[in-house]
Amino acid sequence: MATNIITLWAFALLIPFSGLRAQVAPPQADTTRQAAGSTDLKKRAAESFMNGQIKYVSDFIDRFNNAAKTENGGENALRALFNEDDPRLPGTGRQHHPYASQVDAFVQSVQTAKFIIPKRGTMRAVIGIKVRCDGTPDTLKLHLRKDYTADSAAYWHIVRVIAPSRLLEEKGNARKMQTSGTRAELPPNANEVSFLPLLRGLDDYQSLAPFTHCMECRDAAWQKVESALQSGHMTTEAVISNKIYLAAGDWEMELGEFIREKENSGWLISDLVEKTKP
Amino acid sequence: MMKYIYIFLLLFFGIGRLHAQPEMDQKRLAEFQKLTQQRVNDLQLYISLIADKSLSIEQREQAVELAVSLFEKDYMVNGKRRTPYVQVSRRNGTISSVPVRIYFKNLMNVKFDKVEITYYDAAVVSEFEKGTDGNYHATATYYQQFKGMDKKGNLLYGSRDRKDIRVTAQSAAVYAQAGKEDLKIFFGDITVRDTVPIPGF
Repeated sequence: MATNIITLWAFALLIPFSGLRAQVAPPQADTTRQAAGSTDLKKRAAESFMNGQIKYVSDFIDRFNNAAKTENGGENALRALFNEDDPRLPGTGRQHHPYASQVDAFVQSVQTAKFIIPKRGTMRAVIGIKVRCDGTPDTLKLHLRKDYTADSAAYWHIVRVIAPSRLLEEKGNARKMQTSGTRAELPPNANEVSFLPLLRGLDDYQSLAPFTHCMECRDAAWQKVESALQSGHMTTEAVISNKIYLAAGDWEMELGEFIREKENSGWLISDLVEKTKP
Repeated sequence: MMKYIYIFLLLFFGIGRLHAQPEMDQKRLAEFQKLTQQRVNDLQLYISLIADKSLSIEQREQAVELAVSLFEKDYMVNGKRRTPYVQVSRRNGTISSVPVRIYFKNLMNVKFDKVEITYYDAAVVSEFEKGTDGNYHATATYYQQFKGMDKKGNLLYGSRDRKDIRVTAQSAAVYAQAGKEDLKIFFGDITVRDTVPIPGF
């Protein structure tokens, strides 16, 4: 009996170490890799646009903050954060646009006030999702916000819904529906992969409810979309637009993703709004 | 009697492993960035093998399984099996979303006689950020050039893509005595976007 108990204790003590495998172990033995006769992947040197591209919103914030702090060359670094292909900006053959003056005012105010964007500051997003309403293509717009918890975790959630025009045209109230109490939180980096976790989640649950945590956000437009999702009248297909909004002092920057083969690419400023002005 | 002691010991030590996940320090998270880069390298190799028509079907299917094993496990919602997505966006406006396994299977069955995939020394991993699920999340990015050719080597299709992969570092075990935590790296959803035009394509 005593021997058995000692054996069991010894066995149970080993349980915590069962998790030591996998990550610390060398990669899985791979006969396919050996059969192919190549264990190393040959790669080309990176092209300049690959290194210059602003790949993540956190990279954008780092570049913005560095430019804001820099005395010499800070202005050029700030202007490089704008989409240079924007026809409203000065360029060969382009006419002056009021947006160019707005950009000048923004650059000047950032350099004067030395705004710094906190990495864990207010961030919101507006995404466009291609949907089909009874077989007809349309666009669903969702407003999302990134929030933070007391234990330093972050997540995205839906705060506003702009229903596809086809649904808005429908007369009558949305059908009464039951929303599940399931709560799902989108990962903090969902924005970097065009909010695909949300697209997948809408398909999984056929509901906005798990991703809409504020009850006051569930307005008439939300109810219409929820009803259409639950009944199957509306199905989601792909995320077609993804804009991020960041605050810097009295300004709000709209960031768009510009995927192209030049250094001025990746997350760049696509629009500006001065908050004090309507 | 022995049975109850056995169950008690299993429960006692088993639950011990589910302790709250402690905060990871920056140094440890930087190590996981490096580990993620190694996993990206593995994925790139498996993709090359899947597309390599000189290999046997069995070898290429095995490469599909190895590639899929790098991703989060399938999960069940509303009685349906779910898996991470790959969303491919082309400059001509076409967008399609498919599960990862289907994406790799499609790559295996491309109509070209010869496929050439080139990678670049430009793979990067963002900083890890904690999610409300207790896991740490990052994004890995790399560039890939794809060429599909006929038997004579004439180029039929070519594109250069940027791929962004959602990465989750899931807490696998907590070693309270040693004060260490181990994380396992899994890939999630992928966006594929072309950066054309490529000169000569």
